[in-house]
Amino acid sequence: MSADPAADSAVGRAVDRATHRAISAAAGPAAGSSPAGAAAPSSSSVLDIRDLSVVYRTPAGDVRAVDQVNLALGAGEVVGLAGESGSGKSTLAYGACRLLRAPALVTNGSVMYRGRRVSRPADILKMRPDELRRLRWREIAIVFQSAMNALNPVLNVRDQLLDAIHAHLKMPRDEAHSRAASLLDLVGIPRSRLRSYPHELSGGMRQRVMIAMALAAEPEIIIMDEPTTALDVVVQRDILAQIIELKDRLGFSILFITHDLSLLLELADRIAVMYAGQFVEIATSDEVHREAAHPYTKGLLNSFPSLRGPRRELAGIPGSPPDLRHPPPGCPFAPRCGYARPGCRDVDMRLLPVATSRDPDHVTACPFVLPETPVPSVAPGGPAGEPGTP
Amino acid sequence: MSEQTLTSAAAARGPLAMEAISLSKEYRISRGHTLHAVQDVSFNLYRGAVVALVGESGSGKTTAARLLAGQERLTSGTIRLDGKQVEVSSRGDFRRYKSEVQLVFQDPFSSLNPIHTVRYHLERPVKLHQRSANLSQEVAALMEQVRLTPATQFLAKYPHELSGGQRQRVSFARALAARPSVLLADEPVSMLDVSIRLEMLGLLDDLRRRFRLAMLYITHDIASARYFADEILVMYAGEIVERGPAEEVTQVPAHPYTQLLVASAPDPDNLGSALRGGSRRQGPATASGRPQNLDGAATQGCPFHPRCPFADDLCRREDPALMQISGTRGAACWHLDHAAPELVSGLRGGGGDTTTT
Repeated sequence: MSADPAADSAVGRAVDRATHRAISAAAGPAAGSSPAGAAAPSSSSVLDIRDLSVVYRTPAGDVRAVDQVNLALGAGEVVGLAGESGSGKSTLAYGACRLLRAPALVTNGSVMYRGRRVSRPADILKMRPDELRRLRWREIAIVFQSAMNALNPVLNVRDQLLDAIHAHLKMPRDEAHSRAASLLDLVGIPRSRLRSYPHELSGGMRQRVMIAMALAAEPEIIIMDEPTTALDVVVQRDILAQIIELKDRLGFSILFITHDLSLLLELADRIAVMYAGQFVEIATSDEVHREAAHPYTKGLLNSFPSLRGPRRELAGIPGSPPDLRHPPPGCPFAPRCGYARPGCRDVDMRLLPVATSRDPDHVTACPFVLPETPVPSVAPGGPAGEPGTP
Repeated sequence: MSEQTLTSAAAARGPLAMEAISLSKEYRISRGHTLHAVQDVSFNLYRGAVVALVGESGSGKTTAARLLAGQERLTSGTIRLDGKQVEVSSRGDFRRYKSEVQLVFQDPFSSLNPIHTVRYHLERPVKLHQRSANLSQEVAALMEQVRLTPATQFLAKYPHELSGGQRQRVSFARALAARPSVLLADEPVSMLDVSIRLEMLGLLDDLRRRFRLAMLYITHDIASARYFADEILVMYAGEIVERGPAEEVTQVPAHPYTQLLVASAPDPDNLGSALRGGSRRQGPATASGRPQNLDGAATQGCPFHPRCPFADDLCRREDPALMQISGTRGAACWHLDHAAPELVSGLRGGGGDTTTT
């Protein structure tokens, strides 16, 4: 099945997914600790983010956008980062790749990269500019949030692909040309579109071109930041299926950022739910779906109307996220939480295994609520979209 | 015509407010090509009821709303408001019409003027549409209706100081300021975070109930239409291809395109089977390919035939009209007997003349 050149060169990169169950790192010590924190990093993870903190410097004080988070991405794994806008999910991913600029500042942490092409693990946060150049796109590629508008409007598809190829791979011209064509094959765009300009392509096609560009240097990791949010459901589904197919074929890992948890449940192996710059729950998709433990995750799950099955009473999540310049003490979700109690002010947001879960890697930051804890009867207001029986 | 005998699933909710009769809108594009953005679209809006217009981008949903809002001229067709044909020929006419029919836009980040405060955004429509009103009292009431309280705190703010949800609340309040009977909501929540979408739909629902608004809810998210709307109209390439009660259309879709839409919605209860299995989804229709007339080429036959698994020569030749399935349901497909046999078999008992075998 590896008929095209891109897949050929990926031979020998077959990933034994069973051995790559990355260990979701439990939170490190609360106070500023050494990067070599408590839990030993999994040897099979390609990316290991430890105690990463990012602040935005503002005249009114530091905004703690990402606060001491730990996340490991296994080889061949799809990890979903879920959360509302402003929860810090993009900041986390960009911070880990050193793509942020002032006023954003990485204040703490380490990001160990262990690709199969690099001889030994290296901390991205300590890399020199030339090392970073080699890392970017070759090892870690990104499909940006506004990917539909990220293409250069005055270059045709082929020239943009060639740009990416020549910038990161040493390759003769004609070989690069055939590579550009085979990249389009890979994402299901006819080669006749090589000379098309972005405005001549539909949104879905532009998105596919962006994915083709991300694949140009056969990266180990692709970070996808809301890659399909602007697309229609039908096109979205088609592209996601294609991404997964390519991942299985080429063996890269995906960090998938979205606010659409329902999408992640289908797509991701593991889901990390972020709120106000911290993880509140990390678990496999199945665990999140069947027994979400954290009230925020439960709220997210109850926020999207389901198309199938009986009509449920939907609640959503009342209120809005906290001001990160002055985060509330303890659990930042407490002001919006239906389960809130006085003890919430003392919660340290350390991720601990869910007591009732069979999976020790299912961790939650809420020490009070378990998957089957019933919602207290004084449910916060905000009636759901229940227009009565039609 | 079977269409006339079809009753809207929203009709039971209240009196008829607005009728769209055979609306069409064509755009001339380059080299003599004509884009049929909306083609022969008919539906009714009733006070206190929600009708959802569902389809992908480019299907003509927004154009349909803009036609109803008087922002685009009809190529052909008629719009009636409270039984009277709408003729917007002067500015005064337009203003009177706008006080009855209001439009809420998708993007709360660009639909508010960044150099004006919330107060300005709300005082202007109140001054325009309700001259006798007590301005500050009216504005405070609007703020309370969309639950932006304390009003005094929010009224002095500029759009950039508000969150997406708060901005959309201002948009709702601005629309309500004219005291309309019809509210056209064009993707009112799709730019908002998942966690606050429900709250906003809940708010819209509350407003519908309080003011007995006749609402057109435009969305590409058919799941939200299931919860929010009484009737769903599915649009494809400018035509309505299926219509019926929201629950029926989403649970037993008849048209192959509706089936594709339903199959494409994320389904967490079906974990791992579809996407994570690694194999391409075997859907009821192929997802690739765009509606033909987006490229300006007038399609012959059924607009969906290039993507439809049931397409044959008849589909390529002739565009099917909406065929009645039940008293409240219809679908424009020549091959409903293949696409939705369970629906059509029940129909043969009733009036068999609407389908061909």
